[in-house]
Amino acid sequence: MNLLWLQSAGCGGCSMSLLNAESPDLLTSFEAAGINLLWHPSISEETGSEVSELLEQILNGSLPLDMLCLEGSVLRGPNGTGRFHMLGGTGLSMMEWIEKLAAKARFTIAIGSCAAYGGISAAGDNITDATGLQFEGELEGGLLGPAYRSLEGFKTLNISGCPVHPNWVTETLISIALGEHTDEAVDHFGRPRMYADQLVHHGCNRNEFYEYKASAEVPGERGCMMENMGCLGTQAHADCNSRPWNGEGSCTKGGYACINCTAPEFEEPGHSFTETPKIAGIPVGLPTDMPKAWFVALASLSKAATPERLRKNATSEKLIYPPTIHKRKN
Amino acid sequence: MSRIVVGPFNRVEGDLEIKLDTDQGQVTAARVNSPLFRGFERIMQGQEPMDALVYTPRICGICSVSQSVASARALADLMDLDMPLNGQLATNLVLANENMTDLLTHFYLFFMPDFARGIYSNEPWFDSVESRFKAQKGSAAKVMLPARSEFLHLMGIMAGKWPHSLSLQPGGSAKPIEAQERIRLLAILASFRKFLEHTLFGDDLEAIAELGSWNELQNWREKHDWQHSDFTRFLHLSDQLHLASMGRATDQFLSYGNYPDPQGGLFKAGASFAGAVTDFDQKGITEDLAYSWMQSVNGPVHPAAGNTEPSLDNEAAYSWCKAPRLNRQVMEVGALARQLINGHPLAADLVSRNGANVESRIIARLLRARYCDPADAKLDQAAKAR
Repeated sequence: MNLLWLQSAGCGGCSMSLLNAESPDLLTSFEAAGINLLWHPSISEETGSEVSELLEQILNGSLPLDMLCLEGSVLRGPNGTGRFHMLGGTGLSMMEWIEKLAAKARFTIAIGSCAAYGGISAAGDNITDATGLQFEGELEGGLLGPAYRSLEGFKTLNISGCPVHPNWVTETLISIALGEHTDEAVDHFGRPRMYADQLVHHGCNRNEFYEYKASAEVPGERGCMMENMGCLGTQAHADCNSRPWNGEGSCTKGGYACINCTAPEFEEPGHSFTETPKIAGIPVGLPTDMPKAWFVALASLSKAATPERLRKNATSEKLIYPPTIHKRKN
Repeated sequence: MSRIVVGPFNRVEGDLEIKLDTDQGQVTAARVNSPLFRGFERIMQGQEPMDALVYTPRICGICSVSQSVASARALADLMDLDMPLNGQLATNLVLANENMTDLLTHFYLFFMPDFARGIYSNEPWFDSVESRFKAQKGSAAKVMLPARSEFLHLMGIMAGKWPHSLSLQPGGSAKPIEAQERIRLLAILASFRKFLEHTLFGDDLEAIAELGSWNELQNWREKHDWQHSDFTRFLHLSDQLHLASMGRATDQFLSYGNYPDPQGGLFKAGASFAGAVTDFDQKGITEDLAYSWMQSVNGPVHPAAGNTEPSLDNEAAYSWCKAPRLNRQVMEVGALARQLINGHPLAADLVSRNGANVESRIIARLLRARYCDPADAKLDQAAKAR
């Protein structure tokens, strides 16, 4: 399986995260899956004219392209020229290269939320006219248009995230290499369901605080971050807390809110990322699939039932009350 | 006169294109172009100030934490906040983790694979260097990648994840360290230290830290076969290919200092002109737009007064980059500048011999890795201070 990896308007952080792959490491993962890395801007030997020749071979059909991975969003500006990103040494915009190469790819894969939906590069006024490959925010379209299908007949796969978890990428690529990819393997936004059918809330180490609505008020406190600190873990589609990052971590374990970075348009929440917008004291965004009336009723009930241990610990940096030990004998 | 255009470049972070004008075998002009414009200054405008902590790190995936620390410090300045000692130490540890990871990534994945290119195949050292450093296939990456990933477990514990954390806040770290986690951190650092000593340097970090001059470095090196460690391999290649004679720039250096603590910090700030280190005033920093595809309103101005209005109308322009200057001078920053201004005797000796060059920059980068040890000591302080 020949894989070509290109970077456009992004930070390279998805590649840096990919290098964190473990059990096994990235190079071993590729080798085991029979993935032949034609070129990756960070780790390949080929440079300059060697790369231009390789790209030409793909376009003229002499080199098959099984997987085209794009990291970073596509810049269509200024005025539709794509000149905000020219591929060095080629005189052509990256936008043109991507369009041409996507027509030759058996599978086209967006790596990270920028390539999938526009992401951070499309935030603010978006003066560069940044877009995702086949989505512009939540709307289908993007650079390639809603009708685009890769040579194997698939829409763009969107391994979103800012950055991606390394194993979201390696597992998706391996599943393609195994010939197991189907239309049903991705959700409405094109995200592989292997990780996107879960919520960040699942396995969150603050779950007991959530159950009793025992909330943190400022960074560093141990409580649930949904009520005050903007945490979207109950709505965010990803397995960050059931499968940790960098060994033992996740955003919520690191002491800060989930900002729902796998979702289109996460980059413009319409309020500060780390403050929960509320109406009449009730958070505007409810947990996924939770009827509002029940949420309000359960929240007030569970708040009334909050044990002292959780109430005190929630607003503390250090554990004040450890759980009570139950003894069968006195 | 003819022009050579080089690109697409690899093993750099970000985009690069180089145009060389040559005349009778001499380069008469070199234009280094960043062919990508994202406009983060514009993305940030109008956002909530605290949201800078979300946007800024995403400028760069390899130096994400550096951007987080810079924006947290800027916000702290605005709010007139002082960071408590533990916050400072936690921030320093996370920053050092990224910094040392990046040195490793640069050396093993971005830099050394160039010596395994076929153009060197007639060199006596080629076969062994190729099997060690060949891009994607070399034996070095196979041990370095797992060591790198494991070292970054420090991020998992202290920053949630890497890159792009929100644990680094203006008032300190949002992540209190549990007793179990402190023990785990000590074990991670000890393990990484073993990698540095066994694979990278081939000696105790203390022995590397003591190398105070070019002569001492040569004496140390002569005790070992050139294939003793990856550092000795580099030193051998550097000799064979005369890397000390390449890559000379202005030899004017700037360091903003780093890793602040109550004792004044691990690296002090300063500027160096003609070998003399002096204080500098950040008010003298300006961004020059003369050769940028930008509309220049008032000529070069301090970044705080700068504007970012992309425009292809500037006919002299060849890059989307703004050109930062100190008192209108081109300054070299980075590992060598930082070591030199902080008074590292080996860095000073290297610069006095041949200025800043490919060899002295790489040595200075690797010297930074030996700070694994003080990081360890400071962790201990942090634990005691709690």
